[in-house]
Amino acid sequence: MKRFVSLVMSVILVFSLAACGSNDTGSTAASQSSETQESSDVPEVSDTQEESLPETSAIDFDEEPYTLVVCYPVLSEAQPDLAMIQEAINEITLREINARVEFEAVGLFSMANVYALKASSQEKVDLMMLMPGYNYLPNFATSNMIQPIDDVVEAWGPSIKEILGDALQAGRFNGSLYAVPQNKDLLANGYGFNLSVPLCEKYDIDIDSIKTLEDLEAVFELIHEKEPDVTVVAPEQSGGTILSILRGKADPLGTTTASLSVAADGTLQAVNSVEQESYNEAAKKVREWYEKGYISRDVTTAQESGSQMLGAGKVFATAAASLGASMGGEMTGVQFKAVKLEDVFATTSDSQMSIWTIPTSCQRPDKAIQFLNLAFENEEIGNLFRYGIADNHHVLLEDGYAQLANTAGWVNNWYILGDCKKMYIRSDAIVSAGVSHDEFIELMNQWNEGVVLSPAYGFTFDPAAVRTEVAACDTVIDEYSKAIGNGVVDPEAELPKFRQKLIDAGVEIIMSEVQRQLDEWAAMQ
Amino acid sequence: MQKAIVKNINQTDIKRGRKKKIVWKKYIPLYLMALPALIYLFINNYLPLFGMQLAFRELDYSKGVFNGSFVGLQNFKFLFATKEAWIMTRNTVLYNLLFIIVDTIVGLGFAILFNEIRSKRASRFYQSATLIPYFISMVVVSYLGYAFLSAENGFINNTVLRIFGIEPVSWYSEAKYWPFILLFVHIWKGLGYSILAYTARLITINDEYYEAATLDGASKWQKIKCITIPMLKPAVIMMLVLSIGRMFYSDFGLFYQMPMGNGMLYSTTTTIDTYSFRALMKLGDITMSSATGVYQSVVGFILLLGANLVVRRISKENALF
Repeated sequence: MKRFVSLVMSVILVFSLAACGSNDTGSTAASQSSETQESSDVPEVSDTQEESLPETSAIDFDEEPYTLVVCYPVLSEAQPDLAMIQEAINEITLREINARVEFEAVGLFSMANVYALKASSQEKVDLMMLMPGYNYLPNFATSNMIQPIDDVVEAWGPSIKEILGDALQAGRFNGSLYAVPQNKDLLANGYGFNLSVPLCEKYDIDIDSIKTLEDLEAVFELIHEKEPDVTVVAPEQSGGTILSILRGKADPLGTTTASLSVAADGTLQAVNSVEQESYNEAAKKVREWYEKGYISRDVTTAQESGSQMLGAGKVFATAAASLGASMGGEMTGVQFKAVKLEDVFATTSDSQMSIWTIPTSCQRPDKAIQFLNLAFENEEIGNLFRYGIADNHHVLLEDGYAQLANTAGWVNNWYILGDCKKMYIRSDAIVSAGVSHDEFIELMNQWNEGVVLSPAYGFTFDPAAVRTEVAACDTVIDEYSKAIGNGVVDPEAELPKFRQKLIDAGVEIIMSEVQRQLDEWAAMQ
Repeated sequence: MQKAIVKNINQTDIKRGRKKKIVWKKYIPLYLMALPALIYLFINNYLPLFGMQLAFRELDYSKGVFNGSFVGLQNFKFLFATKEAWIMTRNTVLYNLLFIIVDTIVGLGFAILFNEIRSKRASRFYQSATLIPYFISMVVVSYLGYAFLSAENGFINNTVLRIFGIEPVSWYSEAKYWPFILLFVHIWKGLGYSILAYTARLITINDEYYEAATLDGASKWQKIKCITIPMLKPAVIMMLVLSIGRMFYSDFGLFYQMPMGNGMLYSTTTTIDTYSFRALMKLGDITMSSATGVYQSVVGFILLLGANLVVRRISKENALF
């Protein structure tokens, strides 16, 4: 009996171990077979393909419709109605550019991994969106994961060039165009402070009258006195710093260490951000605020963002880098209004938030650009992709703005495809701003007109030559910037240490490399 | 009684020394049973060794991931370039030494103590209770730590220190307390598991030895000193040698989650794993992170072989291989 039981146990053990093993092999077999299927598509099309780009942008309707695989980011939401929307979009694309589109969702936070995996297994991908683009563009371009698209955009993307205008510069890297930036409604966001409206109303504070930092400090003092349990000011994001808002925006030139400074004769210079006087001043100011008790003692450890805490009533003001045309908004029922302390300033990375790139393995980049071009021209595609099917996923209200419905079927939070200026606007964005639809458009236009472009707009740094130093400097910045940036340590003691450690890590080498690339770029303009 | 013990020992010695021809039939079922696991081990642990070359290459997707041009040791530079890099190596090694020593002493001590508990129910209850922290995720533990150590609302600052009248301490800003905090959390979390491992060995010690010792008039402490500890020597040495092989690795969860991203603590809490994670998060360079992995494994391997060699010189039968 014992023997029988032990025999049965050992058989069960063997099978459970074998099951573990076969699961892995099963899934790899499945993905392998799908790969061979996809790669067999490509030779088919290239057989019937005519030779390279024709002089006139005439789309060939005699060939087989090409299937474009487009990867777009999602915030890990289920998108069960993707097939419906894909169908609707395919009707348009088949008609206009003789191509079908297949959308593939990629989780936002695993984007780098997923794309690297697709590239290394040579999976068929024709268009991929990188978000945030400034994180991935230098890497992917240097490692040849994406291909330069100067020629294809020139031949097939007239609307792209027309609509994006200057913003197309943001897709350039190392002399070639690698990406098509997705235009956003606002050219850039502003720096400032978001103040909680309920608390302001309680103490009769008129937010619109706050124009300078001194006015703001007077308000802070009042709130701190009257509400000892409320943290007066916190950074908007949990990893952010109040110092960066106080110092004001500077063009980081695509690095983590440098900022742009324009000399008196107009030459562009790259300087070490931390050595600047503005950094010094801001560090002292934020330390002053910390010592007065405006900033929570747990600011560097807190895992909730400042804006969440504002929504919960625990924080009065957040130092924000996301100010928009509506100059305010709402978080879990608590309204907040913004105080802007400086003019809005656009850097290259502002336009690189979401960019479309074409992987090196794509066989028909011309088709990919044709699709993007169509999306920019034809707002139906953009609307379909953002808002879903009319009367199913959204309801079109009279003023021309769309109210979301059926978010269980389809949700898309970002302007990913198409010319956003032609698309509908979300109703809840307007409602929280408290203005009518036309006023909202007016505000947006006014805002965009007031945006100043950085002199180095279009320049992106290529860190390939100084990777070691960048890695070393990034750890030093990680160590000090949050603590100094939120006033937790005394800048008199720590700032010199910070600077010295950066120098030891090789920041001067990085600076000279940035300057060299900047000079090269400036000469080509 | 003594004669019987001597007889036992002699037989075991002889069995070990004799190298008879292996009777295959007996062992085939065992190998068959191990086969799926061996295949899995091969695929999961040996096949990926092929990927080690990534650490020596440049990344170029147009040629395929493993065909980038060869760049030698360039990807390893960032691990040695700055003073920071040496601090993290120092931290890793020192923490591992500390953990090995304290783990062994405390684990062994508690296992022996647990073994002395008379009531079986109580003994099982205590073992399960000490084992629970092992299963709590480090992320949760870091929040528990936050509840204790938070500067404004923490338990220690508001309650414990207030009783003693000491000023509240900003725990997440002072690097000097953290070796102790991390040691405490590590022990709290790992104790149950070490106790289990040692207890498994302890209960195999033949009761006859203890009875013989009692007859000879040995005290509790003498029994522990002369029977328990020498019998546990093989287990302790094996765990020691394995730990030395992992000298350049660290528990990423512990060192990354507990400090909750506070830069001021980095001088005492950065280890090789957290350093390369932070350094490369923005760069996203997988060749450099592969270099870190290769560095840790190669050094660990050399240390493991070295430690085994040393143990072999001292007492041959206790060596791992």
